Amino acid sequence: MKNQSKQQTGKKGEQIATEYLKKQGYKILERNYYTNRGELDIIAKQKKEIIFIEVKTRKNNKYGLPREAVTKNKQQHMYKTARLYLYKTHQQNAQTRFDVIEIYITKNKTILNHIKQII
Amino acid sequence: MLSIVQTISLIGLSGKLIEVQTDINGGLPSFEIVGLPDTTVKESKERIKSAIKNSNIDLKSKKILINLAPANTKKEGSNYDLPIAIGILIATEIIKNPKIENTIFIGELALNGKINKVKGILPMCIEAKRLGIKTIYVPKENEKEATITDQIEIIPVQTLKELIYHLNKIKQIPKSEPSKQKTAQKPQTNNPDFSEVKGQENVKRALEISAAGSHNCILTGSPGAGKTMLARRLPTILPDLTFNEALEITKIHSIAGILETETGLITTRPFRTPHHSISSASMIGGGKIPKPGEITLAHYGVLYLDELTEFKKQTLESLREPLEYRQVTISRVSASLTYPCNFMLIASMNPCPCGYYKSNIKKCTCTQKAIKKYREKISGPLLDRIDIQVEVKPVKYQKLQSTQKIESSQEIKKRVNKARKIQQNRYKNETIICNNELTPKLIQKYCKLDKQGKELLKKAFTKLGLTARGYTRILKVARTIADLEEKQNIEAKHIAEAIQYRIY
Repeated sequence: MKNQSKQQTGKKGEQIATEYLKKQGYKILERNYYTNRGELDIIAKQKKEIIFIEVKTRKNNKYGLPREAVTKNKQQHMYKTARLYLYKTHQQNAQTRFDVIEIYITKNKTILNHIKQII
Repeated sequence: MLSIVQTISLIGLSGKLIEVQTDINGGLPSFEIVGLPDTTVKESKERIKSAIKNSNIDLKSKKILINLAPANTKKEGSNYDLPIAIGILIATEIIKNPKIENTIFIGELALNGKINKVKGILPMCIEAKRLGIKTIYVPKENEKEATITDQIEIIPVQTLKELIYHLNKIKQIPKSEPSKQKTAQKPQTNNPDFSEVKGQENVKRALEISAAGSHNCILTGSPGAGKTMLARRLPTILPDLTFNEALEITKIHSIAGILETETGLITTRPFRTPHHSISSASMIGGGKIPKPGEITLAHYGVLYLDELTEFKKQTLESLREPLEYRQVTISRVSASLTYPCNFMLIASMNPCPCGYYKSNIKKCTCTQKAIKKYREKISGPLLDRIDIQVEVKPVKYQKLQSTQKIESSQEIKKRVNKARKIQQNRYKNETIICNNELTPKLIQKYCKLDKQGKELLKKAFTKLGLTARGYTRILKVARTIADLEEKQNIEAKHIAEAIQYRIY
C-alpha cells in the first residue's frame, strides 16, 4: 500500500469498475479512450444505450468525496470526447448516458458507488 | 419525437398564440430553447427538469430542442414553463395521445412540480377566447381571475403530476365554474368619510363635481388646511364601476402583476398616490418592453399627486398628452405599445414655498421672486387641462367646534352615481362614458346653452382671456353641474359656477 502510486490506485479502481459493469450485463466497448479533447475511462453499452463512464478512486476522504472531483470542467471534457467518439463511430443519434463510478479502497474492503445520468 | 403545444403571449394588452414545438432525439444530452426567449424563459429548463423529476417521472437525458414559434417575437415571462414541460412529456410519450386541439397551457413551475401563479391571466384568457381557443389550463391560484371570462373551459391545475394524470385520462381535474360576479358591486368598508371633514363645503362641492364628470381638479391652500384630508376621502364618493370598466381595470392590474389571488374582478376604482420622487418612466410607463405606469394603473380611477410642485418638471409635463388623449403610446426599440389611461387627475399644492401666501392666519415670508419660481414649476398648458381649481381656506375655530351634522360620503355618492347614470344613458350610442371625454363635436350636440348662458360665457371668454380649450372645459364642467341637478339643458348659473372654478 505504502509504495503504491496514484496512477496505480486509479488503474486498480478502473479494473474494479470494469468487472462490476460486466457483472451488471454491460458490454465494454473501450477503456481509456484518449483524444486530444480529453479522456474517457470506460465506454460501455447496455441494450441500445451508449454509456460514458468516469471512474474516481480514493483511499481516504481527506480531499473530498470522489464524485465531487468530477467538476463542471471535467464534465465538459467528457462531453466533448464523447461527441468525438460518436462522430468517429458514426452513431451521432444513439441514445447516450453519462455515469460516474466512485470507488473507495480501504485496507480491508472496497466500496463501489454507481451514479447514473449525471448530465 | 415531435410534439406541438399551444400557449399565449401578451404584447401590451393584445395576445398572440405561441406554438411550443418540442423535438426530442437521441445523441448527446442537451436542452436548447430557441425563438427569442429572454432570461426567464431560458432559465425555465432548470425548473422544468426538476419539476418533472420531482413528479416521480424518470426522464432520460436526451437531445431536447424547443422552438417557440413565431420565432421572431420576443418571449418573456415564466408562463412558458408549463407548455414546455407538457411538450417534453408528450414528445417522450409519457403523456399519450392527449386531446390538445384548441387548448392552451399557462403556468410557471416550481421545482417540486407545483404550478405557480403568473401575471396577466385575465387578458390572456380574454384574448385566447377571441382567438378561438376552447380550453385553458391555468394555475389554481389564478382560477378566480380566469373564470371572469365566460364561454370558455377553464381547468385549474395545482401540480404537474395532477395534469399528467388528467391528460392521460387517469384522474380528471374538475373544470371551474364560470364566475357569477357580473356586476361590480363594492362591499361597504370602514374607509375615511367626508363627514369627518368640518367646513370646506366649497371644496367638497368641487370634488363632487369632479367625481361626477371625471374632471381634473387641483386644490391649493396653506399647510394644514385639509387638502390631503379631503383628497384622501375622494375614493368614498367615486361612482360605482360598470362591468366593462371593472374588466378593463382588472386586465391592466393583472398585467402589472398587482392583482391579489382572492380578488376576481376589481370592484373599486383605483386610487394611485405616487410619491413625488417618481420618474417619468414609472409615471407614464416604460421599460425595454414597456410596462404600464401609474397613469395606466389609475385607468378609470384617480391619480392623486400630493405636493404637485415637488414633482420633477419633466414628469409633470409628460402628463400633458395622456390627459388629453386618454391613452399613451410608449415607444422603445423592442416594442411600441399603447395603454389606456382614462384617469382623473387630482393634485394638491401650496400657493408659495412657505405656504401662507394670501393667507389670513400667518404672514407670507416669501419674496415675489421665490413665489414666481415656485409657481413656474407648474406650466400653463398643464394648468389649462385642469378644469376645477379650488382654494382650500383654513377652517375657522367655530366650524371645528360645531356639532352640526355633516353630509356623509354615502349621501354625496348617491348624487354622484345619479349624475353618472344620466351621462351613461345620454352617451350610450357614443364611444365615451362621461362628460370629461366630450369631443368638440359632441359638445355642440349635448351642451346646449340658453341665451343668458351664452352671453355670460362670451363675457368671460374676453374678460378672463380664456383659451379655446378653457372654453370647452368650462362647458364640460357646466354639463356635469347640470347633470348633478338633473337638468336637461345647461343654465346660466351652471356656467357661472363652472367659470369660478378656473382661478388661474
